[in-house]
Amino acid sequence: MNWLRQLLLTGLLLALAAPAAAALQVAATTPNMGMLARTVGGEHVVIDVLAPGDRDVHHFEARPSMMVALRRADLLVAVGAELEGGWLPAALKGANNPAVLPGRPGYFEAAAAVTLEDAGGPADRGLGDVHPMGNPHVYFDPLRMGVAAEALARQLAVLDPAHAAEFAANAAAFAARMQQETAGWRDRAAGAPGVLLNHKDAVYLLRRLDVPVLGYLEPLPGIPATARHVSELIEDLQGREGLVMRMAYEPAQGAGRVGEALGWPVYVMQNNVPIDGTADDYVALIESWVLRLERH
Amino acid sequence: MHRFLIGGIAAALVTFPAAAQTSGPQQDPLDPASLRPAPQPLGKQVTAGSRFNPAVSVIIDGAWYTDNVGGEAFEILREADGFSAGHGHGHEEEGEEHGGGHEDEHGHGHSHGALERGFNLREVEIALAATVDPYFDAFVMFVFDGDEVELEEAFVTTRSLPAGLQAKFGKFLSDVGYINKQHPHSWDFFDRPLVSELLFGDHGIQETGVQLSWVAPTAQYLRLGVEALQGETEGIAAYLGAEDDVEGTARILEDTAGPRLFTGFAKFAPDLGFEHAVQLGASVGYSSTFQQSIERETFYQDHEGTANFWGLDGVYKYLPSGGSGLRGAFKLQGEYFYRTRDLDRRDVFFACEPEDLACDDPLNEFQPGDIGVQESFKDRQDGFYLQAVYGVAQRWTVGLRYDEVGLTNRSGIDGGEEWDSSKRYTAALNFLPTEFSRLRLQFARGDISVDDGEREEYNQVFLQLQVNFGAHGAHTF
Repeated sequence: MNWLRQLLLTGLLLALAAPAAAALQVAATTPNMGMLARTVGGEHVVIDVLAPGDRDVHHFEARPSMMVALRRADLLVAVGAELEGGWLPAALKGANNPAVLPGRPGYFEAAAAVTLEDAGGPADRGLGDVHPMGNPHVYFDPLRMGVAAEALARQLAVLDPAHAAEFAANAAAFAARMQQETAGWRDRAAGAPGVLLNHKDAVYLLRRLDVPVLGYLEPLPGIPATARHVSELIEDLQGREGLVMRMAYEPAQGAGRVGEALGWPVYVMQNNVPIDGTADDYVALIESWVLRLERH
Repeated sequence: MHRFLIGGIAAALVTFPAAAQTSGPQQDPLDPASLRPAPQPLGKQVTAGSRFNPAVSVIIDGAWYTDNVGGEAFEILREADGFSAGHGHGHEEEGEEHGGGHEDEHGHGHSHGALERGFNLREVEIALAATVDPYFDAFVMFVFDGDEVELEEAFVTTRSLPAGLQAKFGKFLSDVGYINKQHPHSWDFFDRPLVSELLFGDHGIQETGVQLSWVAPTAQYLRLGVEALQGETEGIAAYLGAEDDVEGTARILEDTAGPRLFTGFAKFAPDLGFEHAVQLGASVGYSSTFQQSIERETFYQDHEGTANFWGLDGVYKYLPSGGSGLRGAFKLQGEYFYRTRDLDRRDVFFACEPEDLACDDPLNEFQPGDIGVQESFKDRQDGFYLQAVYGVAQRWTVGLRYDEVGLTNRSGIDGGEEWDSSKRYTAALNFLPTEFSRLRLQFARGDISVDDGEREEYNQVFLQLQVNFGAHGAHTF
């Protein structure tokens, strides 16, 4: 029955949007952002993902294919807070599309729709690749993703007013699902001994789940693990319980050394849904983290 | 569902006091209210950018240098057959060349890349970038180069033209080819490819003018552009303007109004997924005025005419899936250019010839004001480079480059001349501690055709440190 109602509703909405507007063309910087746009926009958006999820988004570079996607985009959905600063500005410059420049209704960044953790730090690159406006890796917090979905719905409504109600309903459903799932995840992760990460990204998720972050393999953000830093970590964490979690694209060596020395398991994780991922994939992504945390 | 939700919240509240980062001690850790900032305007970007001040970035580029020819490697290169106006034309005496734009004295050439043995601060770049208003972006870059300050670029680009159009005004690096518009800090080697330096000039094509470009609304990347430029580039658009008559005899050089250099370019990039990327380019250029004046011992050898060029460029990049940093990344890049100059030559004597006779001696062949050789001829030169860079570790890359100029290398001057090509082999090892710093060790071997067929060889070693700080912008493909 549910699908029938949805179908009727969609039909009604389509009928109301008399000169049925073509789907909005969305350029999403990462698969997670594509997921967000797909979840909120439903069938009224067509999505190009600019950067794949299998590598460090910091180190990607502006490419002609991105400019193609941005050239035809009605809306850009970015993580923001300069996470994509190494390539997005150049790709935007090469796309010659004023509609998706920052400040226009066609520009959306999730980081602007939520509060950021660790904001207000010093803008000093002696401390590594720092983000003084706050940690940009908001896609790791399911609740923030819910909030971002609501903001995205409001922005989509500006670009496609005919489907405003649908966008709002989709976003509300996603936000509610994130709240509900998070409650379960927090239960399951309760008592996890703590995690050593490579980079300060999944910290959003671990804090959300109240799992302690025991440290980072990077001595400073953006600086790969050094032998000395790894030794220090091993010394500091000796005798503790914990686990090492690194992204598949992050170096294995330092993580392996810590795991071996401390007898901790080392898990290779993902930080993005597949390219055409849906909200289910996002839930599965977070599940994959919770699964590792709850076994302890 | 609700039961589960409430249960979860209750469990969370019991197990954990409260999320530490929130303000209220009793706050529900699952209530997203605290995560919502004050209402935001649409399109808001979170940035550290300092409000209305331009983004400033500074690049310091220094090197320790040595070669095995007493520091003369750069001068040998400047004498390469077919690419040096005052040389290789079958004349015994060495001429002093005056080309438009940059006038380099022999031996003390102020030119990018000419280093002394030992320590060199090659340049300090200071770049300012900002959005002017809803309609324009602006970019200015100064280069402190030895004792001089140069304006490397100063241009305005539009940000609101419709239909994929963009216009650019000011002094800028032409979009012709691939490497031409890159600043030295983006190069994969210490120095500019020979074809760029010898066919165009020390700065490539760096001109004042306008550019209009268009990104096609196609599924594959296609960008087309045209430029109208003032015309001062040494190798293809050297401009001097009219020179004074000698004893009532007019020189062939004339004043011409700009723009004198016109270029067009196309760039095409098929979509090959996330691991592979290719961009192919083609470019053409026409210069309505090319002027040279070579001061020989007793006469001015003036050239006036037109020049044109065409070129092809390509770059392929591979970024492996799941790569960490630069490890496994591969980049192959090459460019070819062909230049034709269609010139009229007229020699005008300012002294008596031969010089060993008294000036009024009737045996004198030429008197001041006499016209010597008059001819029309064509110059044809070309060149290419091919380079590859491979990431051997997360922060280490190695690069190899082969340069050759003058595969076609002939001039119709003095009844026709043809020279050999000049070659260079380069290897570089790069260490990039972060994206803001780079250490480079580079070896180069030059094999240069000079003095109508002789070959001069040299080896060069560069140890370079390059850092950039400030709000350094993203680099384009």
